[in-house]
Amino acid sequence: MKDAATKADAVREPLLRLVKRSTVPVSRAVIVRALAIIAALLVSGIFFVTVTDSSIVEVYSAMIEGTFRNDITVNSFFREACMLLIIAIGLAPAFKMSFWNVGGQGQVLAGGMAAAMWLFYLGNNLPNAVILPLMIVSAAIGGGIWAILPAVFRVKFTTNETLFTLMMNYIAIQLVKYLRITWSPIHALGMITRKSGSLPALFGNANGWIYVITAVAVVLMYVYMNKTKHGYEITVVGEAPNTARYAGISEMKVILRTAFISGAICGIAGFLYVSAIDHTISETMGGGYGFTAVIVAWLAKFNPIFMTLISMLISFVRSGSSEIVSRNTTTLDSSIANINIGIFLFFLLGCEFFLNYKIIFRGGKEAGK
Amino acid sequence: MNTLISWLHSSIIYGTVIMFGALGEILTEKSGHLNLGVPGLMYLGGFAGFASAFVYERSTEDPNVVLLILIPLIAAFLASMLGGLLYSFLTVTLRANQNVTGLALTSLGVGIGTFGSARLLSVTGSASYSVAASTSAVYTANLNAAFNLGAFGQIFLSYGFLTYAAVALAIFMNYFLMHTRRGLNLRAVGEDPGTADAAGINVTLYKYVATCIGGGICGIGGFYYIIEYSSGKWSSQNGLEAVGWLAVALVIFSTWKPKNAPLASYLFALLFWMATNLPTLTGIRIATSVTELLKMTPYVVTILVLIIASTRKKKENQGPASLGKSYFREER
Repeated sequence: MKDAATKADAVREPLLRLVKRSTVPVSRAVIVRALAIIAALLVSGIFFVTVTDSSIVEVYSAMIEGTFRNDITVNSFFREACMLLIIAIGLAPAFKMSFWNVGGQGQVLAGGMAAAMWLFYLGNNLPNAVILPLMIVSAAIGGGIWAILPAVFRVKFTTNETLFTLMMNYIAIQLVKYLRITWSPIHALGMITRKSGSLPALFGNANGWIYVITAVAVVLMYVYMNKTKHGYEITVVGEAPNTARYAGISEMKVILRTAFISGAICGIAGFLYVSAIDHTISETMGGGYGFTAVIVAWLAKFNPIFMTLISMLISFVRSGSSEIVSRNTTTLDSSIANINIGIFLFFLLGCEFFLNYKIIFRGGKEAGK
Repeated sequence: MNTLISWLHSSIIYGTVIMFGALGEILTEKSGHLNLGVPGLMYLGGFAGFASAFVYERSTEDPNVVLLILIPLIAAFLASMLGGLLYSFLTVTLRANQNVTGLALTSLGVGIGTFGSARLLSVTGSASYSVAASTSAVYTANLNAAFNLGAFGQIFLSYGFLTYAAVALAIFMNYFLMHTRRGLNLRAVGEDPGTADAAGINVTLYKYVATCIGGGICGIGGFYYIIEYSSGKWSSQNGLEAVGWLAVALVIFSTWKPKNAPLASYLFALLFWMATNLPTLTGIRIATSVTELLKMTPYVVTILVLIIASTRKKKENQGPASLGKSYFREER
């Protein structure tokens, strides 16, 4: 009996097994992620080569040209990166607190609606100095309300916030459709042109305010998360709720406050869409960034600097893909950018494994664990 | 009366779409994995099924009925099974976060579906959609035309065979999960993978198989949506994504029990079609804008169900205990 057991043990030692890493050196983190990006570039390059008739060199040069050809492409590259980034910045504190806010889309729309109401009804009566602050504040409150509702029920009854925030997206979408029809009974709400309510150009750049507001949000969020008591409370509630309770941190207060801030920043993104980009509301506003931003925030481990880098990478993939689409309009359409972004996200997600775990082959030593 | 019949009719069809998605997701979640990629999986299945039927119909003058049924069904199942495989490779083997992986799968699946539809349109050169007419005819063939049974026939017999197959699948899944050893093992894996592992159950295998087959079932839902609900037309703006999210919510509505899925999904669909049917039925005229507000109902009801489910802490109505957590054997 005993012999059989030892024999079975010997046979059963697996070919490879996994050990969790405790720390990851910075160099390794950089190398693994760079390899993942290179692999993703290769796969998306091959994908484009098969669906178009161009060579791989042409594909890559088209991607670079589509982003950096002139002022217009560079500006749209930075603008898209900023919009993705500001939503990700908004979602990050919620995730850090283990609050799965996948309602970024709904919060953007809620903020956008709040801003658009001022624009639609009072855009001709109030000067910019009055209406713009009103728009931005009500957009933040609108987005905040959209996020705090699920948080209230999460705190009270531990209601699943993932699905709650998801459903709030669709409620916002229906509200936007309602407003569009109310405002334009013939179902063709175009740009809402008013005397004021549009963000002016800054430093001669139409997107200037978008860059400034996003940059301010990034810096403030970095300070808030890393240097304030609130930020510390978020970390404790997210990682060790029992410790939080023991330390006298009110879990309820932290969750409600953080959810509101999270939604408010998304709401401000909605304000930017209404006031600086679209000048109207539509249910497709924010173009699915609510979900992409979830992945950006997660991949960056909620670090604002990494979030900036990943947003720029995704924006690059998007503008590069659009360029390839515009060169092959007969066979491709804009959805290809989503496929391409999907490829990059999967590689970046997959490579986390090589940062968190270590593979040990049969007979290998566990030295340096 | 006619409005009532057509309301019930469209609700059963729409409910069946959600039911397929929910059944696939229940199977996945029973293994402890919350797959938020259901909309993407439904897109993949719907597109693969439709495209294969479309290509087959164009390749032959005289399509064979058996092939018309089998080709798209297998293609839909395989395509979304591959999606499920990608998801399980990332979440089971590489232990990536499940929510994030699911969302990435959704955007990839939706992207592939819309991309493919553009390619099909460039083949036909038609304006906004392409059609697989013969396949749709086979899949929507029903008994109502044969026997003229009036209202009864229209409500109960006027659907293609997949509509009934969905109910059969729900009953079978209930039997599988509650009365077979493999079903018990699967539930054990979802509740406590550590214990299941110690009992000699191959946790990884169960997770993979459940996720892949679950993905395949979602894909059939997507195909059903195209072939029966949209009468065999594929267009890029087809609303499959919203259906996918409703399917995820329906899992909670049916408290992770396949036997509850049919009624729950029909009820859901009735609410979905309330906005367009109730005003006609009651004779109250409402503005188009208000219709948009009424269309919120299924989402509001989902939220209410979520809240009610969370206030009542009955143990048998909760999801699998390890739902959403990756299992790593050496971390106990």
